[in-house]
Amino acid sequence: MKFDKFSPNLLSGIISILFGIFIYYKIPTEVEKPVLIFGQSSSEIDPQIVPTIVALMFLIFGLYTAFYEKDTKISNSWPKVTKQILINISTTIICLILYSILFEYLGFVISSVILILSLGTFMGNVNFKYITVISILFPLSIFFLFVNVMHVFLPEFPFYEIRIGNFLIM
Amino acid sequence: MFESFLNAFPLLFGGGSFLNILFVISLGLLIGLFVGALPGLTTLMAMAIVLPISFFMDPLVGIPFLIGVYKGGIFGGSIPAILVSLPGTGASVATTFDGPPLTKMGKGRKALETALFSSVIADFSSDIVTILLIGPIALIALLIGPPELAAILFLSILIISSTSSGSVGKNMIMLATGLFIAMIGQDPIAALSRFTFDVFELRAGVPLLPMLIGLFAIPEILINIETKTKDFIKTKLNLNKEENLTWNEFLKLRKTIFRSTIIGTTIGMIPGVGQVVAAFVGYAAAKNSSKNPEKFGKGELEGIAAPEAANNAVNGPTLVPLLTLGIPGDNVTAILLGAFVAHGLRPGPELMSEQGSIVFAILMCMLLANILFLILGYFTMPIFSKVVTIKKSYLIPLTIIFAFAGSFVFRHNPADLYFLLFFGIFGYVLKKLEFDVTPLVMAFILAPSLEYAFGQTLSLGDDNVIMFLLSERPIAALIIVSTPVITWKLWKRSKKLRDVATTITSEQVK
Repeated sequence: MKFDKFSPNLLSGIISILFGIFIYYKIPTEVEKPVLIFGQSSSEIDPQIVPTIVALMFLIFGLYTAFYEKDTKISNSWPKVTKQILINISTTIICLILYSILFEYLGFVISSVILILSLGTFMGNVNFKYITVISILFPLSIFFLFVNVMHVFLPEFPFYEIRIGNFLIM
Repeated sequence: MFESFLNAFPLLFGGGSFLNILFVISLGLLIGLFVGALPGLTTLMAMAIVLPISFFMDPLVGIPFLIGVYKGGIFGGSIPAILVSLPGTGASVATTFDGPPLTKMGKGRKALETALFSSVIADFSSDIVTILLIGPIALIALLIGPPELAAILFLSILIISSTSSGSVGKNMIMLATGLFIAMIGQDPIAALSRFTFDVFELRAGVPLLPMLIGLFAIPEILINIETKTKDFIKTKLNLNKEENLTWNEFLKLRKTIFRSTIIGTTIGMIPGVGQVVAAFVGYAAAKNSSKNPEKFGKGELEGIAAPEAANNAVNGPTLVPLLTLGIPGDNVTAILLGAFVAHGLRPGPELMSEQGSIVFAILMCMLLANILFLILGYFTMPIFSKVVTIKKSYLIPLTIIFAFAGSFVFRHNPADLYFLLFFGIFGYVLKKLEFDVTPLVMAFILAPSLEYAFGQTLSLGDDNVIMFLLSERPIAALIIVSTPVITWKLWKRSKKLRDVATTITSEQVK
């Protein structure tokens, strides 16, 4: 069978059916059983009822989508993804993953400066002087707003304290 | 209820908070106008990103701030729609039919003023309808117990799923996905762990805020990055030199504004339909009743007033089911629900009886927001018309760091950044495959209340729930029996309304 014979709705339907089956088979191990107190269940209703209903919903709606809506014209076409789009999106996602990691270790301001500079340059059409100034001023302003005005915590600069495991270096 | 209404006045005007409220509404309006005016960035995204800021304000300051962003964003979206034929938000697509031809004729300022006045009048009227409706509906809501609440919540998520855009099957899969994500963590009845897959971060369940920001903001950002277009638009505009809307021209529009206000208010009461459809239906109604329908699409002021009044009139009524039953009618009200919950105010029947005065004070803030919107919108129009020229390579990275900071500050948990990222990528894939995330978000938000009420109903019914419902809870039984009929009727109605939108769009394309 050629790939284009799989419409998005057909594929969504199949994934939904498989996911419904997966949930159904995971219920015995993934749903905690209520404690018995004097031989009576501590929960008034069986905790497996709702997960079973949700698993059945995936199954029923998956079947409906796979069989009745597989050829429907509304919202059922593959998105046009060019090589360039794929490169742009993957690069951005990698930047965001790195940012999530650096956020904790380098602190909010430094990691944000790196993200703005790298993503701004990647997107192109920026004046390097402007983007450098913005990349420093904007994270500092956000940091000031959250920490000093709203009194909430954001990871600070890494050089206040440096630890290896639980050992405080600085 | 009337007492709560009266108590709202001292809450709003006393204690020195009034100036604070005016300030944050104005700030919200300006943020909304700015984001709305940027094609590709939506009001929903702006609300999702600034939502965490509102958490650290007093409820009577934080929620009006979000309302300001919402109102500003809807009108802001009309600015590029009128000036450069690029709708800033989905709600302003119908405005692109007559806005750009008017701009070409040198009547851009006139068109923007028409949009502003129509929006404010319609929004103000629908907010008054909301204030009048909310009291009686809240009194009825107080009479309902767990079985009725479970039946109403079930009916609501089915209606939202069937009336959302896209195919019914896909919407229902999204509904099931929302219910599944809500199941992760602990069940709301006996606090038993489920579907955590031994991942520590999942034990407390999936956090609402990173999920909302992830689903609403990150996909928009990724879509903007797809093409790396260098500028939003290259254009030079000087609205200060153009002529204003005259009093006579405005008077000619009054019937259209009135008609569209009624259309928008009615559509706002149907969960899941929303502003886009309201704008198209308003436009179609104006065209059909016009003596010169051939002028529509060629630069007719009525073609601006009709969709703008209709899409803004939706704003108020969508809050009625949210505040009285805890049921958000669309994505924007889902974000507002998040704000209410974070402030310790759980929308639903009890909220109106226990904190009715705060609710009425917030509704009055909506009226205040309209007045401020008129003043700010009028004077800042020329400034925001220049926003369309801002390069997105500067804005996108800044939006991202705001989204990440906002997701982090609520729980101070680095895991929330990964939740944000996961839902962002998931939302992007869903958007590309033309899934509507509204049913997912609604199901996620309503699932705990639904499951709790469902569990209580099963306990009350003991061994025979059906007999219990039939003999002791006939209203709940009636709602359950009529659920398929109501859902079917509303699905047909929303389909018809969407068909109107499609027909108009294809006519304009031709």
